[in-house]
Amino acid sequence: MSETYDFLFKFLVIGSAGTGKSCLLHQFIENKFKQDSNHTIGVEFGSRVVNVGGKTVKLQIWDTAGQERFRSVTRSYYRGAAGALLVYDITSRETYNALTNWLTDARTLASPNIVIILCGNKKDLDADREVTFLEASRFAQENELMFLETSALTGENVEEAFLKCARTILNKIESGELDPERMGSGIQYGDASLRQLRQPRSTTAQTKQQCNC
Amino acid sequence: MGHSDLEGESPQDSAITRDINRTFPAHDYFKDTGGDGQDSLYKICKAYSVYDEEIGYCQGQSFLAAVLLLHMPEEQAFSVLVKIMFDYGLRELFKQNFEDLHCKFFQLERLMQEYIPDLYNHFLNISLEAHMYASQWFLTLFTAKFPLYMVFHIIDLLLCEGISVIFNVALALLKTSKDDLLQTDFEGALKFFRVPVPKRYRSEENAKKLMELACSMKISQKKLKKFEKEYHTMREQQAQQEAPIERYERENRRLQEANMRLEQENDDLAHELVSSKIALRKDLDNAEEKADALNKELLMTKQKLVDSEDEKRRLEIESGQLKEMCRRELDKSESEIKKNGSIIGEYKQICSQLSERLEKQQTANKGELEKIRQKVEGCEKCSVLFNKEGRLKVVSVAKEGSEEDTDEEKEALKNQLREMELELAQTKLQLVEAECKIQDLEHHLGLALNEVQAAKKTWFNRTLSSIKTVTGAQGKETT
Repeated sequence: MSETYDFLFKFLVIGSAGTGKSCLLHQFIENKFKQDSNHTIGVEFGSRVVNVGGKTVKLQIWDTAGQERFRSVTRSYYRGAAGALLVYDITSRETYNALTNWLTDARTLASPNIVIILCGNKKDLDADREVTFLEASRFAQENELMFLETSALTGENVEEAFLKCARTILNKIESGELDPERMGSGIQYGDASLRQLRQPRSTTAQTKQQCNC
Repeated sequence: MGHSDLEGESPQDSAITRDINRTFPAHDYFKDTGGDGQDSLYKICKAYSVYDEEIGYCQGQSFLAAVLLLHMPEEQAFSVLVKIMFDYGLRELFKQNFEDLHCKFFQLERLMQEYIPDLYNHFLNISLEAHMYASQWFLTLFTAKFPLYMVFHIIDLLLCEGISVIFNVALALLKTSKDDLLQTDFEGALKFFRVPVPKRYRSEENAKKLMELACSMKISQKKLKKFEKEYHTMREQQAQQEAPIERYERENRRLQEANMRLEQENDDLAHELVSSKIALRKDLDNAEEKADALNKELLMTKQKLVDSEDEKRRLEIESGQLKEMCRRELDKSESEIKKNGSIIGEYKQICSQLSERLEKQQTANKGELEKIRQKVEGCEKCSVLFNKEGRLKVVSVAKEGSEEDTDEEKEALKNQLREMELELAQTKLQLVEAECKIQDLEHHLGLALNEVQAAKKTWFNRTLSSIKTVTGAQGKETT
């Protein structure tokens, strides 16, 4: 692959089954809604290069199975994730109530500095809404999460969700709050490009990423 | 599939429903929500989740179930699913945090090392691990992504040969795509697995070749066993090698996590306990209240029974007394009637005696009177006095006429007459007195009869009613 980028971030998409994680990913990568999609078994993978604040960032996104029991399979993907989309379905309170569990998992299994954005998906199904915007934004505030309501069907806020997350990570790196080098020892970011950026700018052709998941 | 299986409440109902909609959604048989295909699929998955509580419903099952459903009726598909899960050992993959699945990944990588070493090394270089591409293959037995005719082949092979054919198929897939995969980087490889690999087998030719390749690969059970052992020793070593602090930290994290979950569970259970305790207490209170009320009622009923028995006894005594009294009264009345009867008889006898005597007297008087008349007729002077009316109308004339002769006689007759008249008056008086007495006695009799009748009637009624009430009360008590 000849894409060039300044950073590589590993992302996770987590949340209860049927909240639209795979569709969010598909919408983000393919720019269209995934009709007739099977439910995810194990993990799926997708990637895209985006431009954030003048930097090109490659997002490697792991889309996980929603059923709780698959956590032990998806656990290895938490390690070294820089950002996560925590997805619930605004038409299903059950998926909203499960957020605490997902959050605990993310905070214990992934880097403690992981940047999480809460996504209330299926925004287009406002008539069947069971979770209000206000309620979810309060939850996000209490748990220091960013928050957006998205629609994988219309594409509304999908790109924004990924970009917002990436931008926050980038800001943290630039402010020194996140040190990719140090993190690399324990919890890894998409680090090859970061390391390279620290060195005087040289070839943009990437060495292979050192994914240790 | 027994209906009892379906009636059990499966906690994963909504999860199943959600996934059924997302199992071969493009396939004609399964595309309609609420259609036959989805309905049967739901039933099988739900039945399995009830049947196998330990595993329950697990994402991925529905693909296998759907493939089976395309070949056989619901009940049979369920049976075959159970067979594959239990006897073929698919359920082992889902157990204990997928430990067996990870072992299978390790075995696959070791097999790759032996059969396709260049690809193995390439994957090593790009840090591509088996769990990233083979999870879905193994958990769904290749049913989720590949064209159905190929899936059918794979399942047939599996049913014939056992679960280890998943290695044959996986190796064949890797081997067939080796040249392409060797050109890819990490992402490229993952993307290649996602689209081009399944796409390749839309050609039946390719699918057939793949199956032939899979069948031709001989993977001995011994080798798999050996790799399994290796995996376990590796895991043990990993556990030991870990820096103690790290290990403890991990352990600690794990324990904290477990602790948190358990606390949550504990909270839930405590809550449940409290609420059920409250509910039970409430039930108990209600039951006690009810019992109290029933006891009270019972006591009251007992008291009533005692009272009723007393009343009954009292009434029995009373009725005995009444009977006795009535009998006495009856006897008395009867004897009175008898007495009255005899009085009446006596009275009648007296009456008849009296009238007899009166008659005698009258006939005697008449005879005497006749004698006198005859005598008077015999006397010329006196005959005038008598004859006309037979009465002594002209006594004064006759007096004069007969003078001395008749004087004496006259006097005697007169005296006699007077005596007789006196006697007559006395008899008449006696008669009147007798009649009075009769009347009096009749009145007495009437009174006595009335009394008897009245006595009879009231006594009867009273006894009857008292008996009625007694028997009525008794009847109530006994019921």
